[in-house]
Amino acid sequence: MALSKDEEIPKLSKELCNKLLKDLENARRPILEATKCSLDNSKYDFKVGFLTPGSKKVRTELNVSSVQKMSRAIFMLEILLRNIETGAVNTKRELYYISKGEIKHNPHLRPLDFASQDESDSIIDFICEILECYREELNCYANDRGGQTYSQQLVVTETLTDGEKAVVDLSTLGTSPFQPKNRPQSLRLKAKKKIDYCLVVESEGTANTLVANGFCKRNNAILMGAQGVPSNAVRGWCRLISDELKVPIYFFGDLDAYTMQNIFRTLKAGSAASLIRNSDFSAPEVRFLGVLPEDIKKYELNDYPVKENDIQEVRALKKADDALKNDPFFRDKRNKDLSEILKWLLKFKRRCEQQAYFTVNPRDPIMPEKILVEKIKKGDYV
Amino acid sequence: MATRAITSSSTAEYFAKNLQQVGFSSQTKAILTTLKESVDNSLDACEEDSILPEIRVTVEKVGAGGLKNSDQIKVIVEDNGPGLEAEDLVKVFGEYLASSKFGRGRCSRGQQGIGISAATTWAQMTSAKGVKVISKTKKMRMAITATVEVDIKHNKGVMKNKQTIKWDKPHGVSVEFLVDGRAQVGGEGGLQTYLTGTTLVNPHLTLHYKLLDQEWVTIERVSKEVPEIPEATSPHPHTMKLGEFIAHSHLFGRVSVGEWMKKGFSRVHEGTLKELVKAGVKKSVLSASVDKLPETGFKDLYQTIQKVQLMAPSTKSVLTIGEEALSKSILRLGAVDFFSVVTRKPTICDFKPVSVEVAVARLQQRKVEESESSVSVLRFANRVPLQFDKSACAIVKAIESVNWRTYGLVQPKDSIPLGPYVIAVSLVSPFIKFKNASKETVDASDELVDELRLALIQAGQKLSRHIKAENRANDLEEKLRHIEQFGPILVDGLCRILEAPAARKKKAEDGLMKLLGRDSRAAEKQLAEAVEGKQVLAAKQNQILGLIPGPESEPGEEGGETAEKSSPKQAEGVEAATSDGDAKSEKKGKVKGKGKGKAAKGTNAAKAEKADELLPPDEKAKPDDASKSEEKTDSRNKTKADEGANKGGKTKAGKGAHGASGTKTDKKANKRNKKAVEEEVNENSADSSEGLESEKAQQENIETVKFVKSKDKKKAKKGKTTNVAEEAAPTKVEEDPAPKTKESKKTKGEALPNIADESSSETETPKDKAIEKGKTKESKMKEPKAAKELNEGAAKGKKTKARITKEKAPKEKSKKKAAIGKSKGK
Repeated sequence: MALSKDEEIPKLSKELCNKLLKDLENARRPILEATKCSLDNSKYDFKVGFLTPGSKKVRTELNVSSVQKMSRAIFMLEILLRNIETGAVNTKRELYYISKGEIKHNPHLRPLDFASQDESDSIIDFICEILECYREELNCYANDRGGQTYSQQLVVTETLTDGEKAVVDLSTLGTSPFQPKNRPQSLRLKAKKKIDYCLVVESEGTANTLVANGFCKRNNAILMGAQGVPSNAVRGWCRLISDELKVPIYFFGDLDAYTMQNIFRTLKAGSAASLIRNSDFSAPEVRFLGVLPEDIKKYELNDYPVKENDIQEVRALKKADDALKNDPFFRDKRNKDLSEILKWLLKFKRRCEQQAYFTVNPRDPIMPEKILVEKIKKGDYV
Repeated sequence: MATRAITSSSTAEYFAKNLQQVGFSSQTKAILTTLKESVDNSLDACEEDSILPEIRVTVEKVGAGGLKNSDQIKVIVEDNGPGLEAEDLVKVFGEYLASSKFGRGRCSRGQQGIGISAATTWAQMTSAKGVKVISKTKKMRMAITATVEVDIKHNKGVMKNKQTIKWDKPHGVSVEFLVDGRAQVGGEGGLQTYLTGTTLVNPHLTLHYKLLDQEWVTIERVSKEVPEIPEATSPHPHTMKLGEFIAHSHLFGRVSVGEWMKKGFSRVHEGTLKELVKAGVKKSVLSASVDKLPETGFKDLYQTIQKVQLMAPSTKSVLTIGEEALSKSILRLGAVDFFSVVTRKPTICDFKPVSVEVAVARLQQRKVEESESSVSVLRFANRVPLQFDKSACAIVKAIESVNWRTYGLVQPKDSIPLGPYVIAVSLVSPFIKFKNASKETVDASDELVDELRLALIQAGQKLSRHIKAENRANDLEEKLRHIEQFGPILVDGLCRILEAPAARKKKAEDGLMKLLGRDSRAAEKQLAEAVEGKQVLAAKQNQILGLIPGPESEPGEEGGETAEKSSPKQAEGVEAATSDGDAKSEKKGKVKGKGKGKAAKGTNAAKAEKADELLPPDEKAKPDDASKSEEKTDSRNKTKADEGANKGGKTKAGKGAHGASGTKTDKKANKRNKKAVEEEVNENSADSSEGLESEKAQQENIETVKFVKSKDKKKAKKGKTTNVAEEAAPTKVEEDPAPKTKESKKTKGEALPNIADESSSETETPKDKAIEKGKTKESKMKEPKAAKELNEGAAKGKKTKARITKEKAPKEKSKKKAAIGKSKGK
């Protein structure tokens, strides 16, 4: 019998606790097993489309070194289970304070006290890894960053926690965006009219500009601002659009190593840190629209060399080199076009920003839009 | 416009008007400078005549000073030096730029002959009295006393009230200044800091002092060796400017240019002259008389020789304090928990020979209240404390550039570390580039900062053993507390979630206590061992200091330590070898370790000893239970797993150290060396808390560095190849244990002695590089320069070593992988 997520987690947790207690009763050392979330335990299959966990597990056996971590995990699990039961949601920061409050009222728990939020965060992540779930399923949400969406055709129906439904017609919002939630499973999408594609723009500002200049009026499209590295909300939202509306998704961002491997890769195939939840938080269909290396020549875009003394850029290049060797996503032959871009970046050590399209015709405010639409039409993407 | 007559003034007039340039810029500085110049002169004089200095200093308030807010201070400095002849008194105390040391290129404290005359001037200007001097040389039956003043108009000394008196000293000088100023005792620029600093870097000095109202303090000497000041070497043509070059020729009268070049400069010989001819200097110029050479001729010659490649200047003229003396001296700062000292081999920085010595100690008395403040930095240039303008100094820049966090100190980013530590850095060179005439700051050239940095890194590495031993004991104590605290809470939590009955809870609690009780006992045992380990380290330092006689009669304990315990001197040798291939250790390598055994002496021994020292004995204990369980990603685990894998080797290595007395075998030494390499890697990985990924990367990084180096260097000159092989050869031997044919043994026998003959500073270089590469972007190392000088004659065994090096990298890698596998398996 399939259990809903809300039922499954308490059940799994209790099974786990029971096993631990049994081991203790028998004076055996309990062992906790968690999926190893790192690049070396990531697998990528082009057909699946996102990074999946390998077979590596991290085992924590109870002993003098781990007894603190285990006690803290059980303590935090108790709080989370109570939240699931009552339907309350919290952020990690709030959970940190809730745990502080618990300890304040139960002095015998004092040894468990977290000195900083990092400590409680890592315990929450540890619980997610043991239960193989993502924190949203434990009612622990991050603030919704990025993913501001504009469209004249899209209608979103949200099921609220009390079962009520809210319908949002994006065309009625004017130039205000729709902000997707971290919990994509509670959203349903509908198109009033056929939607041709979804365009994800790395810079929220540029997305805003496109809307203000009438992009949504002229195109039957969904326009979204990613706001840097896509948050869970953005990733889940893109997945939902891809699954429910079956429209192609294009990503438009800077041409640099950071965008390619941190932003675009995460959007398309998820990340190594979130191996467990990539299935719901990645959009394998998303295509890289630009800026492509050939665009620089084609549109005579202003690019500039990577500054040797810019630590961040140099580090991104170093990481790119590493990604080409170790990241299963870039190593997959069918993502060759993307790895070629990384190679190009490494070779020429140049970068070009998305806003460079504004140089093409500085007096035509919709020039970037024209280029983007033309690129989509011509199939000029990777 | 009316023309005014241009007048010239004397040097004394210039300085009298600009006393702030030579250390009299404030009232407090005036007192300090007066004292400093007097003490420095005394020390220099004693060293010149190989006398063990004994100096008495009195600083007292006499009354109110003439200057605003000042006191009248009497500064008396009395030494047991050779004394001054009557006719010299006026020159020394009353004439500027009259010096026995000017431009001689020696590592003396004073150089120009300005300081003490400036002090006389200050006294004269503020209290209208010159300096009162008593002097007696060995030849004199009676001492002479006089007041010397500066005739500022003519830059001449004037003697007044000359008398002969009875003085109970056989020889010596006493000076008495009456000056206006304010005496500051404590603080960075204080008199006390100056005096304790001076005693630190002058272990042979006995100092009695009385500052203001304080009681008399006596600091006894800890060394009875007067430092032998090496003779100056001739100037190096590349370090001169054209004017100096021409002026230098005037010292030689009527000799041929070629002869002058050869006699007057270091690193110029017949071959150089040929090179000059090749580069376009006419032969006739070289055979012409130097006093007839026209200026254009000098200019051409000068410009050409700048283009000719010459050997770097010699480092012979540099004096070092030595690690043993420094170790003993550091205890005079107060009670210390532990310390580390490093004396680097003299090297060339910016074409000048330089020697760097570093002492780092943790003081007991500062522990509580000052753990949050910066460490106290003592800077020395030619054994004179530098007390002002800290931030611009090369020494401080070097300290800031080191990542002290790796060694267990607290350090805000890019600044001086915090805590109850003293970092003393002594820079000795015949040509220190001061930023100003008052010698307060050393110019921070890149080369110099790099050299200082290397010394500091080595000292930090040595110190980290002690800190880590201490941290480990603390960790274990905390673990024990964990067991008591968390056990019941865990069971409680589980029962609450499961709503389990009380019976189940009771049973689980019992089970848990059983489990953790076992852990508890193990941890207690480890703690005992860790505490013991700390004591052993402390005892070892005491032995180095000679506070406890070396237990030569107890060869049984902790093998790895034995070599150090045998006698303070020997221990010093080992420490020196560890740090930098002090001449002593090189010698030892040659004399004692003949044939196979040699290998263990020079470089290999250096590493092996280091590894033994690096590892507190408690770490040699079996890995604790944690290693079995805690995640694969836990870097500490891996370290332990590796340790476990090395255990066998380690024990043998420990025994091998007995071989210091001669019975050492190649194999043992090599094992120790291998361990040293691994230990370094382990230490690094243990420091990083990033888990397996980064750790692996780091290790591979280190491997790659070595491997790439071996490849490159094989192509390069002879000497350099040897350098890499030092690291590689022993490892290979470890991989293929004993039965691996005679040939390999033979190879070792040939290859390793060469290594022993190498400078051990070479030993450090690759390792340092590896460490640095693993952690942060780091400075370029300068060793290759020294390598050129030192590596000649390493041709023998070169090929073998290169081959071994090539094979080593993948093998060691696979071994590490195996170790990882092991820990995973568990």
